[in-house]
Amino acid sequence: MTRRGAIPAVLRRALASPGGTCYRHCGRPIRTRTVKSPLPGIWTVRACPSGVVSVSTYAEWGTRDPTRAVQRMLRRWSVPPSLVRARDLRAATRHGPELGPAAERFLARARPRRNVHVVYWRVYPFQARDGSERRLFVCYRRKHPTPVFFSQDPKGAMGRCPACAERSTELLGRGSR
Amino acid sequence: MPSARSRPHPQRLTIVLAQWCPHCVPLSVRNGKRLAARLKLPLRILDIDRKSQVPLADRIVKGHGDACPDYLIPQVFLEWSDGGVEHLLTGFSEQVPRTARAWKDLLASDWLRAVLPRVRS
Repeated sequence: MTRRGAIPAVLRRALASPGGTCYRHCGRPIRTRTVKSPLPGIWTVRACPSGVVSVSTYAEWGTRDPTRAVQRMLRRWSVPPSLVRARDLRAATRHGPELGPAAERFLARARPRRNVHVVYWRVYPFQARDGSERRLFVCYRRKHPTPVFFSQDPKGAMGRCPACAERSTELLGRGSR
Repeated sequence: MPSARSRPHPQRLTIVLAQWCPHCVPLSVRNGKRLAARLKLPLRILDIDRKSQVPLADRIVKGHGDACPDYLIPQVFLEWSDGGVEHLLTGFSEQVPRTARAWKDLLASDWLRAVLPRVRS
């Protein structure tokens, strides 16, 4: 018995999309990382080794459109939460025939009939108020239990995760007492 | 029981796309032509950057596809003789080769094998 909305292994394999390179940034290979969340489906984040995010994907096998739940979750993970805009969330339904024979047969046999709902979060490079280019970054450091998404100038210093910086400041504050 | 003649049959294949999108052109146009040829159907291209085609594109996506404020492309639809519209495929935002794999799987699918006998010669 699987949790409602969870993605069985056969569908997980069919949805997988390894490979690719970081477009218009460093050209290095993209790493796809699975992220844990309270939602039943699977999250993957495609990012380059510097942390520039290509796209984040959430997939759920069910009857409902998970876009709103995805938006809420991403807002909890993003600094500031306003980084997550509704227009950057794009939905896709996977029916089966486009997922290969194993997934197609699995979905055809499954009752009740359900599709795979995928929500993509892609933030295109944008300009900050000072005119500098901004891109979406992700930080997975253990200092914070969930991924942290933030925007930064890709030409600037790497690793300026606001959650990590906040924690460092807290620790410094404690040390100086 | 409806006779084979009165059963709905595929009438037209439609792709909603943009010329600048690498998932769309040439990949989905080429594969759309292939699928339309297998089904002996006309292929309709709706370009989201052509003012005259935008209302049609938006209507089919909102009514039958993956609709959202800035919806994904390409989206592929099969229109049936009874007025039904079947959403077949939405591009895979991850990368172009993944969308290419989806087209390959669709063209080799059990679904297509089941639809072929319903094609009018």
